[in-house]
Parts: sequence; C-alpha cells; structure tokens
Amino acid sequence: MGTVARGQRFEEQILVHLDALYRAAVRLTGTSADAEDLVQETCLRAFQAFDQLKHPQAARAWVFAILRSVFLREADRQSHQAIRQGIEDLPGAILTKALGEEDASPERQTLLQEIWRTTLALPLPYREALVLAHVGGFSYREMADILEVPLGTVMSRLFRARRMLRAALTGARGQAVPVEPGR
Amino acid sequence: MTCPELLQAIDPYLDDELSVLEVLRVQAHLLRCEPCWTAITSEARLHALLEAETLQDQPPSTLRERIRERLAAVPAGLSSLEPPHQPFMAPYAVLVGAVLTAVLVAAAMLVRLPGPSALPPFIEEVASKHRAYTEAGRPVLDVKTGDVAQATAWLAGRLGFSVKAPTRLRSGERLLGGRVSSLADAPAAYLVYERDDHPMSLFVARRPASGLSEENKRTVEGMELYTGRADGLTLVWWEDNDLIYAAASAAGSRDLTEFALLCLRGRSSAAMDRLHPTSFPVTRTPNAEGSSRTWQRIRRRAPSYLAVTPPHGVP
Repeated sequence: MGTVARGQRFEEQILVHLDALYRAAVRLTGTSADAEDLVQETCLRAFQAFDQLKHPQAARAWVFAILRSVFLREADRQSHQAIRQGIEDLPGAILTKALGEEDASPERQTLLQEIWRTTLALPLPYREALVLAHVGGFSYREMADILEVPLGTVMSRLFRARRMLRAALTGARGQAVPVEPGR
Repeated sequence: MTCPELLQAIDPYLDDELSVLEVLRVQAHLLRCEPCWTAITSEARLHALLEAETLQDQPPSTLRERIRERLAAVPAGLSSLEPPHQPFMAPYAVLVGAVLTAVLVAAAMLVRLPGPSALPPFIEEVASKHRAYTEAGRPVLDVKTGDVAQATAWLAGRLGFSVKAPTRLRSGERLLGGRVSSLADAPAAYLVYERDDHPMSLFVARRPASGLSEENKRTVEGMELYTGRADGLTLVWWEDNDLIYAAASAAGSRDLTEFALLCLRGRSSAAMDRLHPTSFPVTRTPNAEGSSRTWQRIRRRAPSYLAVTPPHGVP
C-alpha cells in the first residue's frame, strides 16, 4: 500500500474521529493540555498499527481502545494524586466556551459545569463508561469490547455512574452509591 | 412488565439497547403508569444533559495539523507497532504462515475448497466476526471458562437452545469461553478456543430458512460438511438438527474438519486419530452442585428483566 493511500485512509477512518477522541481525552485526563498529548500519542500509535485494522467499520472502537490503552499506561506512570490535582485545577470557562447564545443561561452553565466536575471526580471505571457512552456513542457490546469487561459490568458501571451524577446534581452527595474497588 | 422491571430497563431503553419487543413492553407500561413515566422522563433529562455537556469541547484548531506533522515524521514502513492487546498476532506470524501453507497443501488433499465467491452471507459474517472478536483485542467474553459444560449451559440459558460442543478437546487445544453473538440478525452462541496459539471460533445459531448451497458441500467420513475460505481464514459449517454450526480459524481446513467431526460425533474421527496419534485430555465436567452454583450466580447478576432459565436438570 502506498504511503499516500495509507495516509488518506488514516484521515478517512481515524482522524475523522478527532473531535470525539479529544472530548474523551479531556474527560479522562482532566486538562486540555494532557488531552492534546493523549490524542497525539493515540494517533501516532494508531498510525503505526494501522495495517492491522482489518475492518474500517471497527475503526472508531479500535482507536478508542488505543486511546484508553495509552491513557492507562500514562496514568500508571503518574501518581493518582497528580491526576486528581489536574482535575481540581480545571478552568470553569472550558465548559462555556462553545455554548450557543440560547444555551448560555447561568443556570444551564452551572448545571453543565457541575456535570463536568462530577464526571471528572468519578472513579476511573465509571468515568470510562460514561465517556464511551456519551462521547463515543458506543453500544454496550462495543464498550465491553473496548473496556475488556463483561456486558453486565458495563451496564452496572453506567448505572452507578449516572446514579452518582444524579446524586451530585441534586445535592445528595452524602447518599453515596456503593462503588467497585478501583483498579 | 412491572414497575421494578421498568426501572431496571430505563438505562437500556434510553441507551437504545432493547429489542423491539422490549421497547414495546416499556412503552406499553409507560402509557398506563404515571410514576414510571415521571422516573423515565427525569432520567432522560440527565442523559440529555450528559450529551450536551460532552459537546462543549472542541480540539484546538492546530491539533489536527500537529498530528499530521508527527505522522509525516514516521519513517516509511514503520507499521509494526502492536496495538493494545493483540494476543493472537506476532511473534508467531512467520511460523504460522509457514505452518499454514503446509497445512493447506495437505488439507487440499482431504477437502476441496471452493472460491470465496461461493460463500453464503452468514458465513462471510462468521469470518468477519471471527476477525473482529480475535484481532481487535483479547476476546471479550460473557463467560470466561475452560469448562465446556459450564459454557454451553450458560449459553443455553441465554439462547434457548443447546450447543453441542466437544467435551474432549485435542492436545494443545483449550476453551477460552463464550458469549452471546448474532448471525444473520438472529441470536447465536459463540465459543472461542485456542489451539497452538491460533484462535478458533465456533458460532451456533438456528438454521437459516434459505438452506445451504450444495456447492460448498463435502462428505468427510460419512458426515456432510460445508467448507470455504475467506480473507485468509478457513471456514467449516454443518447442520445438526435445527441448528447450524460454523467454525472459523486461520489454522487450516484439516484442523477445522477434525473439530467439526468432534462436534458431530463427540469424539475424534478414526482417520484423524491416525493423523494425530495424540491423547485427548478430558476437560473437567462440573457436577450438579457446580452447575447449580453457576446458575445461582447468573441469576444474581442478571437484571431482573432478563429471564434467566437454567437448562433442564440444573436446580
């Protein structure tokens, strides 16, 4: 396969998902700078392994699996505390920069900001599930493949993640939903 | 559908994970139950907010260009970096290629393989799913077990039909587990084996109404098998009562033919025994107590709106 044709295919099958990859990366890493690094590294790894992608229709799930793998590897290198600090330092403006005029009411901004903060504070297994469902738009089965867990675990994590979000949004943080042990 | 059942089904309903029948049951309940309607409306708002929140961020305009620059700097021909979790890929690729060639030459003496154009669509689907399940990463399984009886019992409870898989495996062969899959839009059982580092897939579904093409049909040791090749894979399929079985592997047609005969007869064929004078280790067969525990666990874990029925004989 020629280099040009390979590059063209990579554009069509992988880089077309760049926006979603970045959104997922922001929610995994907690900062836009780390998210950019994560997406760049993911694309580089995907490009190097691109010939092993046999089915273009699986490209989205494939590159998300690589994104997760790169993220987990980096997260292992860093301390958990460092990641949490990044989450706490998030600029609130990141939520509002792309809001349309009709959506820019203070109440809505506050709500979305609370969702953002709560999502980032979720334990990683739940955060991953939410990101794949709402950023990636994957089915339970695809999520199970990416996360390498049974289907029931995907459903359980999604359910609990949403319960935790709901509890946070209604100010009922004290009624914590039981969570699985961390990785 | 009861209210507790509906509450369990809210997430799958909003995530578009229910079958048409289940959706109709949910909607029928909502029409006559205001509390459930309120609950699902509230949950739908949360889903909508989550969707809206995820759309807030856009990557910097320079990110795409920076990625392109980094990709352009990758030396030509460097494409061997393995993606995460590809247990069935290299380093055996070269050895596998050589063995595969030898096996295929030998196999051609046993079974004449038709061209790929002769394959029915559901067999092409088998090839595609075998690739997807075994190449995109570690096979993701609903039930991970090397116990054939446990895996087939689990599948029978989910699918409503019994899968006849060989309980005696060949030397170097082991069951990794199974999952619920689909073939031609119908539910299908999926079992994956590993044999000498090759993944081997077995799909079992109800026989399609269209029947099987005589073009692919071969008779091996009195058994009717259908064989073909697609995308570097060998495919063997056969009928057993009202079910169709389809196996896929890159390991060669002799391997798969032998496996098919094991499924059909529950033992190795005499001819294959002569070709492979190896022992056939017997896998552990769970006793009734083990099966019962398994089903209790499945019942506990399954959502209540999924009817989990153990196979006959399991308490």
